[in-house]
Amino acid sequence: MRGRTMLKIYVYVLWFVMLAPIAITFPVAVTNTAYMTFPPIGFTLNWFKECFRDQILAETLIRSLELAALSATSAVVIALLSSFAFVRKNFPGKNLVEALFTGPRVVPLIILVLGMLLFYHSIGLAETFWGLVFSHLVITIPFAFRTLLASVSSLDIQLEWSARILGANWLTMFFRVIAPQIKTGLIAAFMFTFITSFNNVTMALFLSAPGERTLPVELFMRLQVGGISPKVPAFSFILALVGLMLLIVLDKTVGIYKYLAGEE
Amino acid sequence: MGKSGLVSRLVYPTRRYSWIIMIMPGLLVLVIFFLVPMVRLAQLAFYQPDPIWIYKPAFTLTNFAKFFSDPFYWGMIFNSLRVGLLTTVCTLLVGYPIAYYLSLSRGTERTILTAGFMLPLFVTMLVGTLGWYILFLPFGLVQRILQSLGLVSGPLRVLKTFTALVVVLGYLHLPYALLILVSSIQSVPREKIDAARTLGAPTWMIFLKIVLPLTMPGITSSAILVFALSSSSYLVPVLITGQSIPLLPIAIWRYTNETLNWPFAAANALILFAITIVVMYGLILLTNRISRRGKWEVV
Amino acid sequence: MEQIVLQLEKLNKSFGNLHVLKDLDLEVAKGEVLTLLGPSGCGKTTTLNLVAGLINPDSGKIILRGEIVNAYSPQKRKVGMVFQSWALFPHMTVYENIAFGLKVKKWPKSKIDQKVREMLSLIQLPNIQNKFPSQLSGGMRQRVAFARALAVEPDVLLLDEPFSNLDELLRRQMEVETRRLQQQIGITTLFVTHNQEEALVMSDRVAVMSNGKIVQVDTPLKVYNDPRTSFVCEFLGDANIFEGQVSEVKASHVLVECGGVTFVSSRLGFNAGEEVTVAIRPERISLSRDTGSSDPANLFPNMFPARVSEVVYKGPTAVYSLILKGVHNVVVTEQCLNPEEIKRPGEEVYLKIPPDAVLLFKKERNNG
Repeated sequence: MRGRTMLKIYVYVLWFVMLAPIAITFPVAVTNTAYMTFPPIGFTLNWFKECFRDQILAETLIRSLELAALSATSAVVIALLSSFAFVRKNFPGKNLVEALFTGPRVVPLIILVLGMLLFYHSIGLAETFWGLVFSHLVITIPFAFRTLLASVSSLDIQLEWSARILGANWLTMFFRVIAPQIKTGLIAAFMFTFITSFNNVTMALFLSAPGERTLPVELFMRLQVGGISPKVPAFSFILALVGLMLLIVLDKTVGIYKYLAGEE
Repeated sequence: MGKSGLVSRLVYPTRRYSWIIMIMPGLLVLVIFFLVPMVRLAQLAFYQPDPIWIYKPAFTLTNFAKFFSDPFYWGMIFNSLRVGLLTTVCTLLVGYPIAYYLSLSRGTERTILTAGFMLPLFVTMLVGTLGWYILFLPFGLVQRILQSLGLVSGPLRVLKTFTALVVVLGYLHLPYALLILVSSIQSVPREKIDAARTLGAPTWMIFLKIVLPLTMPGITSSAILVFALSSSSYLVPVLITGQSIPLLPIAIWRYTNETLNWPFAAANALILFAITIVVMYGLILLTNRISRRGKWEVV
Repeated sequence: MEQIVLQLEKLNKSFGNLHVLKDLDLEVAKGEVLTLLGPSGCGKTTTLNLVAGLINPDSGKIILRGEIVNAYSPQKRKVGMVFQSWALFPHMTVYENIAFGLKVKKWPKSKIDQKVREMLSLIQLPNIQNKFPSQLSGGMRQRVAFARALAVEPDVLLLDEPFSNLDELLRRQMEVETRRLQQQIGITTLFVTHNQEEALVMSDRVAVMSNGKIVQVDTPLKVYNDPRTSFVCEFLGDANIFEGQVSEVKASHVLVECGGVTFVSSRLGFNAGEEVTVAIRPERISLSRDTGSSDPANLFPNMFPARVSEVVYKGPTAVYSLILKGVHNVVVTEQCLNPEEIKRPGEEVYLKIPPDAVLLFKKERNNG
């Protein structure tokens, strides 16, 4: 059917367009010059090698990983507890609490950040690591909550009753009865909150201490300085490759559409 | 029962009050770090700016008066609306056919396509923004392509323009729209489409009269999401257009960090939020009107 | 002479490694209701989808009104289909649903109005045209689905288990209702179900399917009383099953020996020594407290003493479980018009089985 082929062509052209900005960072990063230029002059992989030797980049990378790991773990634990409370008990004020848990997704990010920044100034959390952690929690908890709510709702409570009758304590209960059932939900929630936290720029930009930058912020700063060194697109390309691999692995194991589908 | 019993009691919401303990951490974090800051922000918008103390907690509407009396600020609202709506329309128009194709694809093709379209979600937005920056450079790749097609001659000056902004915002937010749209399209029961086929309807008619109306909620959701994200985007305008196009998010940070006029910044933020809400409701009303949604339910 | 409206010739369809339809042949005559009856996975819905054109066969021909329609899309085939979920368009009113196929054909509005009115009165729901499907009950929705399929005046009506979403009582009503409707219009119908009672109620002929093949096509009466294989026998209604061997072949009957019991069967076409499966329907066996006659020459051919082990009283009928020759478990259903006639557990009674009720089937490696 002609219509079908036209659609296919359309989709694939746009697919290339989507990959273009990523793809372009490679040729630009292999230039022999000390500045970014297109088309590149010469060919060298030195800039890529430089990325691995860059101390500051390594520092910020580790900081970002720590931050992301901390936020993701806390968010998942908090969201898991909360979703149990939601699913298993009709407590008073449930609707309000639900609105509170969905709130951060409705408010634009910069407004959240502004509010937090001004608030932090008054309680001395501005430009601190923990201030940043809490701000990340505000955006990751709602997302993890939504993902886990679906998983926890699908739990068969009769399995827990049977286990209890058979004498299981809470530790056994969680690890051997509950967790296996919501395994994919937990992994998805963790991975996606980790990624969100790691990649976040705006929050880190305004809430982190000047000497304690996260990776995206460091990248942002280097984009600001006039005359961008080819190291920047080189690093950009590396990040893109990592992201791509992560995407493929997650799609194969957990399934992207199922866990990321937005609002509704 | 001992220690295990005590913890058991804490962990089972089926027990009387343990749900309180379970909901508490999330509740605390969100109340302290979300609700309180938002309330204070709203308060701040009504406070008096003060050059020394930054603000005086005296109720006043001067911030809003200052905003709405100056055509420059109206211009900012107009720009933010323009960016948001244009990005939304373009992203949805471009994205719907892609979502349709994605929903029909399987296996390896689906993974490959997904990888391309969803990538902006997995990498920090700076990577994509940098890429487009490079592409849009005068004498950059886009220039060369357009030149070989005979569409432009001379250096491309698209970088500081509105168009570049819409393109980059669309690029970054297309995945969000696609996720919702794919889910929505897939939720249309196969049998309804098959029924239409046996009744003689050609494919285009099935799309227009069955699939489109039944995916309207998904269209609305993704429109709202893309609008909210693009109209409130800060980093992309900063990197792509700089100060050349006055936009609310940029203004907000200028007043916060440079002039330290926090109340005014807060007022700007409230106005931005209000715009988002108004457009959201507007979209819902519009699409409900189009699809007569109030009267029927999915069956 | 009957006119054949739909013909399926050697249809084959596989899904991946699963060979669902195997050389299927079928003919449906004008105005008749032919039911495809079989367990889940036997290929009946696949067959229906092939006729509609929603999927294409790997090989074989689909012939509609004498024309080979394999290459035609569903849009071009002039079939009406009612799906299991009814598939009504929720965002359209009843009027718009029924008119849908007519608008596609670009009928003038007046003609469409008339047809919709006609359909609504046919399904006996004249006033619902402006309602949405979500405002209707299950039974009403089902009828609207019918009206929508029939409005386009199709050559064949295809029904894919359209009653499975209705509760028991409503289902029985709709079965009768649909049959009435079908006969009123006289439309050729291919009906798919796994519910054996439904098949018997709705059909002119029943095609029993198993594993992608049609095992028997006959009227409901014959399919029930004269099943060709033990699969058909056991799928339609209950049966007492015995395994045995033909011991003697006579001109008018056959003797089968099963674990110490010898049955007389009027089924012919078997050879001595052949291994067979014996099936006897519970309602064909009668119980009596005596032999009925003292004259040996007048004794009932299949009469066996047995002990009642269990009685389940079901109102109009009673279901007895009995032990025959201390070994075989036999189930008998009897009408109990007289409470004194009801036997009690522990009682010794006589089973009486007419020879034509003793069904015999050759032992096949795979049933059906």
